[in-house]
Amino acid sequence: MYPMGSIPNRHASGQRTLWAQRCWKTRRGLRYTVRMNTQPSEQALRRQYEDTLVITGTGVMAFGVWSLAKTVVVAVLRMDLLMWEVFGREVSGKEALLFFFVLGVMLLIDLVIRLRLGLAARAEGHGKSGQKTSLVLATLLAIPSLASILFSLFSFITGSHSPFELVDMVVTVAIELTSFVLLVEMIMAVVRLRALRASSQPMGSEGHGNE
Amino acid sequence: MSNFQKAKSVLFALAMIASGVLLLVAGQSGIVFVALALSVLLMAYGIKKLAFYLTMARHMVGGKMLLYLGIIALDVGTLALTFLDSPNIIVVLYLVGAYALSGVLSVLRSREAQKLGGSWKLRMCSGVVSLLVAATCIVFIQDATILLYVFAAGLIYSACLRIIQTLRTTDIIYIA
Repeated sequence: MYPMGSIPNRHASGQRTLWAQRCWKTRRGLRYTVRMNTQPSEQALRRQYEDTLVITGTGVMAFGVWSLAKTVVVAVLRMDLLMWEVFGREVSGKEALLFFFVLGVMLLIDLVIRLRLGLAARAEGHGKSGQKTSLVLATLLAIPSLASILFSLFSFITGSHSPFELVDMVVTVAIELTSFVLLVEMIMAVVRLRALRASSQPMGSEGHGNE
Repeated sequence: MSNFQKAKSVLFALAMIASGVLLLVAGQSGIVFVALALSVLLMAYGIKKLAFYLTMARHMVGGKMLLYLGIIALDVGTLALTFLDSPNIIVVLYLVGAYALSGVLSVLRSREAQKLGGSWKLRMCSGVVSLLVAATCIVFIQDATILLYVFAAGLIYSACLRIIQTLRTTDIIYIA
């Protein structure tokens, strides 16, 4: 816990403040300060993870809403191209309708998952107890995200593209990479924060821990 | 504001008025330029935010938000660039977003002022006008001329407001 090994706890009134851990007087009367960023206190770590959760929660929601909006705009404005790419032939109106229905349902499910995950992460970051499903949901979202990054990189390397397509691809890869890193950060913060909360809470008194 | 900042602001506003008049003169072909300018400006905004994140905001609490904002703005800009062949839609999306948002906000604020017993009629009027403009844009989505008129009018109006705001002597001390 202490970087120096044996720091005398001079403020031994049963109440160790952060300041008392950080600064004390040496025998010669000089004040000596431990740099806290070499080993942050439990409180600081906890706050850091909570901040990360709030930010990544907001980010997951923002990316979810934007990817939905993007897909809807592309699907509406480039309907013919999309159908041609998916089916490889002319399709009848009924098939197109079915396709768009399925696409819409899938997009809505994705959005609901992301909103739920983001809201849960924000709530956990604000001090509420976490949901058990949020880790699972984050992992579920992260795996296809990684797959799509690899796919984009593969087509980026193998195919030849016009300069504009290149810019478009770079931006697409950047946005996918960001949302993947965001999910990984969220998972790590959730795991660490839960471990920290579990260890700082005495057994058998859940919900009434040392606040 | 210092005198230099005032001059800069007024010059910028004059440039806005000039481009608005130019758009009014240009006719239907002007809408492509509007769409192009919108998407390029959006991309520039995203790149600016990303640069700020990389140089500074990495070390700030909550600076990640700027990364997300910048990268989404960049993506919106590139998406808009790919739809330059139908520029009406880009311009309409922009106009509807701007006017509907400001209209809804104005109406809500005036309702609040009405509850508190303040003056609310002017603000309600401006909110309703904004909403009507947004509705007009949606109705005339095919007509590039009307969209251009709306856009140019908004540009010139906000430039005039900017000039008034700049040249008015206020007691507020600006830190800029």
